[in-house]
Amino acid sequence: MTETAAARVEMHDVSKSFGQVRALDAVDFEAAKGEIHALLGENGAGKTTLMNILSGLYRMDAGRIAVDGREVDIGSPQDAIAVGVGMVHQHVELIGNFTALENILLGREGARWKLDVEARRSSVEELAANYGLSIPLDEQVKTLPAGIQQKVEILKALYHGADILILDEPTTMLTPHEVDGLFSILKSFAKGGLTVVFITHKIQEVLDNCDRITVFRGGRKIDTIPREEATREILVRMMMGERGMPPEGERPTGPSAAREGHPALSVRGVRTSAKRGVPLRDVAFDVPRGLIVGMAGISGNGQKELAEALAGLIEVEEGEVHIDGEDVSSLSVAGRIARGMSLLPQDRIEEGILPGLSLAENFVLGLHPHIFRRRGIFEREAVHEMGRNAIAEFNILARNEHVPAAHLSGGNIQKTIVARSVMLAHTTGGKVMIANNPTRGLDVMAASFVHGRLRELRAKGAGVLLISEDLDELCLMSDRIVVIYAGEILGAFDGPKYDIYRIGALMAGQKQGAGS
Amino acid sequence: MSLLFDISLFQLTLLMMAPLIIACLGETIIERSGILNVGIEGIVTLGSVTGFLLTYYSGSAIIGCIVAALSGSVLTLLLAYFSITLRANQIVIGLGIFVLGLGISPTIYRLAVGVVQSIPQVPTLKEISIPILGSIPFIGEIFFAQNGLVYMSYFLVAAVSFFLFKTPLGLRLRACGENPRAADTVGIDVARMRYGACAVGGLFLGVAGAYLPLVISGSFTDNIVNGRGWLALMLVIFGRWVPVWSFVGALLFAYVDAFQFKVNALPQYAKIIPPQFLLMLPYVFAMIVLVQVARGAESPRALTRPYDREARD
Amino acid sequence: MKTKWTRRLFFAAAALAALALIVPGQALAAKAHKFAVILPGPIEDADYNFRGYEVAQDIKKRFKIETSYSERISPADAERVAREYISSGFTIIGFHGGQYVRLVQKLAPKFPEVTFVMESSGKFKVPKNVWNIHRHYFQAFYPFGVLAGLSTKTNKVSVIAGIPLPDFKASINTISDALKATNPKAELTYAFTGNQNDPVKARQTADAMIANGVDFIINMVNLGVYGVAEAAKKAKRKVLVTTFYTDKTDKAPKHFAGTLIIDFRPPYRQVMEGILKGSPGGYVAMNLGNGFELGPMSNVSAEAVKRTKETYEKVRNGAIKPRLAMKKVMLAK
Repeated sequence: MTETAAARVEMHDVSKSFGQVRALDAVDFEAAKGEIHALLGENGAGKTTLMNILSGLYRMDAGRIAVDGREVDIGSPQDAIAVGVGMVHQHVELIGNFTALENILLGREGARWKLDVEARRSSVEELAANYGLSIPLDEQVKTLPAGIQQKVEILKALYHGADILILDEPTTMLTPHEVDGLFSILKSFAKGGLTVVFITHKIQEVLDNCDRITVFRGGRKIDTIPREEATREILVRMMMGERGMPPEGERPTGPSAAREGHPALSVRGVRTSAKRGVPLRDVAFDVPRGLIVGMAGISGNGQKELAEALAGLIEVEEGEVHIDGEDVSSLSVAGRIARGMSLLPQDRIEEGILPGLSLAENFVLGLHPHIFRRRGIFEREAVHEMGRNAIAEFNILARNEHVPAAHLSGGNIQKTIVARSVMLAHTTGGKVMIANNPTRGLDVMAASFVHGRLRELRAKGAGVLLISEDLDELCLMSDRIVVIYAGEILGAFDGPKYDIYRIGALMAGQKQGAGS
Repeated sequence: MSLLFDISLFQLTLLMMAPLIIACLGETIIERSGILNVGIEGIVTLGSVTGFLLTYYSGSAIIGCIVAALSGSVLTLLLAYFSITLRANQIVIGLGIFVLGLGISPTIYRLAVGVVQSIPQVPTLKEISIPILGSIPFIGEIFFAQNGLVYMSYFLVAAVSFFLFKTPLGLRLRACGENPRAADTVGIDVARMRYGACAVGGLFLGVAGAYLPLVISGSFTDNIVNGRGWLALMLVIFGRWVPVWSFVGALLFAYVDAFQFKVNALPQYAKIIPPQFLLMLPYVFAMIVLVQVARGAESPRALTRPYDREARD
Repeated sequence: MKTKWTRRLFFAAAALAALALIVPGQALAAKAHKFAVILPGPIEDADYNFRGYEVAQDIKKRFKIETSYSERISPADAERVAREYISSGFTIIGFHGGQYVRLVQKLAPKFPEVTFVMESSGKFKVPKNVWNIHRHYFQAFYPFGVLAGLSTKTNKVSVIAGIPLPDFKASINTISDALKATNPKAELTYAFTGNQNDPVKARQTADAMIANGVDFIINMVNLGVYGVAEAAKKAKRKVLVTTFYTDKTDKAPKHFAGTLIIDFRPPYRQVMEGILKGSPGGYVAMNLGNGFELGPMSNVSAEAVKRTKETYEKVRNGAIKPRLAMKKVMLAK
């Protein structure tokens, strides 16, 4: 429908390298007025880099950019704003301590000497009303939920005069309802003549919402096709190339697969103090043996605190945690590990590894009490051997086991941590695995690898608690899904089929939608 | 004349509050832009030597203050160059600036003055009583019968507050200290803002240094600053990066300090309370209050973080 | 720069000396002494450290030997600096300050061929290669008690000192004796600011004292004195101050009442003469007439000047013997 329209923005032969890494290799891209144009590709395919160049954050090494047919030189975000480019970043770039209105006005305050927020309020409100964005303008941004923050950032871009609006993975932090709301807004933008460029790796969203699709792979543009010509299979082939999609793996069977005996993990009325982040309020659920229980919730609703409380990192004020029928509430982290708990931490670099130590040394963290023949004596050769085995078995891309962990890519670091947790689970009997966002930021292949390992544990009779902000992942993996909101469990859903709208409603804190 | 409330006690409080708050305001501007300047003590010391010497040679305290301000600015810009352009660790560079300032100041003094039997001295600034306001009993005598730099410090508290919270430029400056990338994406030149903050903040630090010889002692000595720069750094945290609260902190600290000297000088107390304890009092007070206040105090989010537009996280 | 040249000269001299030793029958008539003094602060202070620097200049001129000095040497660094001097051939090392006394006691036995000079506040038993200059501050300050007693209008007199050193405590005690003997109505107060060279603290202390009614301040701070003088200038009533080491009357001509001139050259000359006579160690009393001197007085009555001078003479010739109490401040009742 938009192919006849003139190109609003064109990029030709754009190349960009970061050090030795070639992020973009002579890429062409064009988007028309009034269309929603999807940029589809795996992580690291170059789509965000290309848009960062268009929005002035990165300088391209070579290439040309034209807006409305006129060549432009975009050397800074200021230049990009001047030609009408506005970008909403994946992690919203707002100032948490400022109000929404201040964030919107920042950089275009409309006065030179005296800041008069009130004078600009009406024009911002008018703009918001025109585009159907309702925002509490006087709230501090950090107190707003992710979906609203995103709207603030969209409104900010519009206020700064953007008519080429770029959104980078805008749906990751949203509930299904919010996703629908976002797309209906974007569609009205496009109807109004804006150009919307939408970066994603989720094929379904592309098929549901976009006019044209440009697919990236490995820093190159594969092709641009109109929506009508696109099917899931075509897009997968374009995204993944000859590798194809990873095997889907065994689907969850639902709670009926639970094995007999004590639940692997039983959480009973757990409360934590508000001093340690989001307080948990009477959190209670079981993870039976042989099941994967997914925990859905929008980031910052107590997932991190729950994972830490279960691991023994923060104190449980009230309630009990049982592993295989045994109360471990008063045990240390090491004590819990010894009783069969293993943990996949969320923040890979901060919590997961010691960046300066070698790969092999990172493998044995936590395993050290179990692998050495004599307690307390470090056996260098045993460590190196384990490292070599793990590199082979888990297909980690590293020169050898002596490489410092910090030199690995994100995906390979995550593989290292998964390898360690899985090995730990094997050595300690592996009763419970707590995985907190184990695939965040990983490409499809790496994510599929992690999923495979979690399923393996499940098949061996372990209970797996999978905490994730990606509802698609949860639906794919879980036998049961519990929903956490503001430190409270609002409901549980049995698989294998889920109604994502009901789960989404609970994720947004609406209790009336509660399931079984 | 009671122990806790008398005119001279309050007058002395204001006299010592002024250099603290002036330095504190300069540091606040710098930190609000995202740069932690731990070189403050050295910069203030440099300001005090240049301010003193130029006043001595020119005979004008105004020229002295201007040169002190400029020298403070230059040394702070050195910190800016290392932390903004070269993206070096701000703590390390700051400590380097501290040592540099402390070392270079006596050297400048010796080069200018040499070894003498009688050290150079300047007349200290005169008190100026403000008409009408100065004749209000009690209040007038305390607040409006001070030297010009004390008045300037009142004005600067108001001016810096207005700048930070009521001007577009202030909003942009704070944005750079909170989230430089967010500022960058709306077209604010983060490096320029931070350089500007250092240049202007440095002016304040230089004047704060000049205050000590020009108002308090009339002469320069090596350790004239003697930790008062660090104190200003603490007052920034005390005030949670808000000038008015730092002003309150500076007043409180200066009051306890003046009170301590008063008690130290009174025979009936001197016998009971060891002078060492009294000398410690303002610092203990500062520490206790700081621990209370600093709990939950939020520094500018991007403080000490260099900004690199192309850095990938 | 200076030490570099000194060292080069020294090496040249050492080479010559070595040559001289090789040539038989050409033994040097006298051992060539070299004098170095270690100073705690900067020499441009026109105060205590300048007085130490003067000693080095004086010895160079008077005894025609090579001298050197090091400034801003904390007690922690003093040993290293002293050893450097010794290893570069210096034969006499002076330590300008009571804070080095312990170090001298420790270091002297290790270098028996070197002569150490220390400044102390007592007759210590010292290793035999140590000269002890015993500074009688407590005597020297006695006349100021008389001057203060005759000059105060409010009958409130104060002493401002920095660090509570025994010499200062003893001096406060003798001042209080003299004050009571001269003017029984006068009351003495004192304060330690914690720093000898912080004019800001000294000013704050003096301001507080003046607010309490004090109109005569006897200074025992070094560079802090400028803060005290400023406080006097800003005071609403006439406030007089005294100082020590060097005359600073020109800094506040209307406020300085008197100066206790303290000159370290005379006692050091005696030490040098003793060394040249062949004694590796000894004792020199630094007291009124020998190092301590009453400087010109101003802004006080002729009567006060006369009686202060008389008192000075009496202390000097022993007619008045100020009490020695160094441990604690015990004011006269």
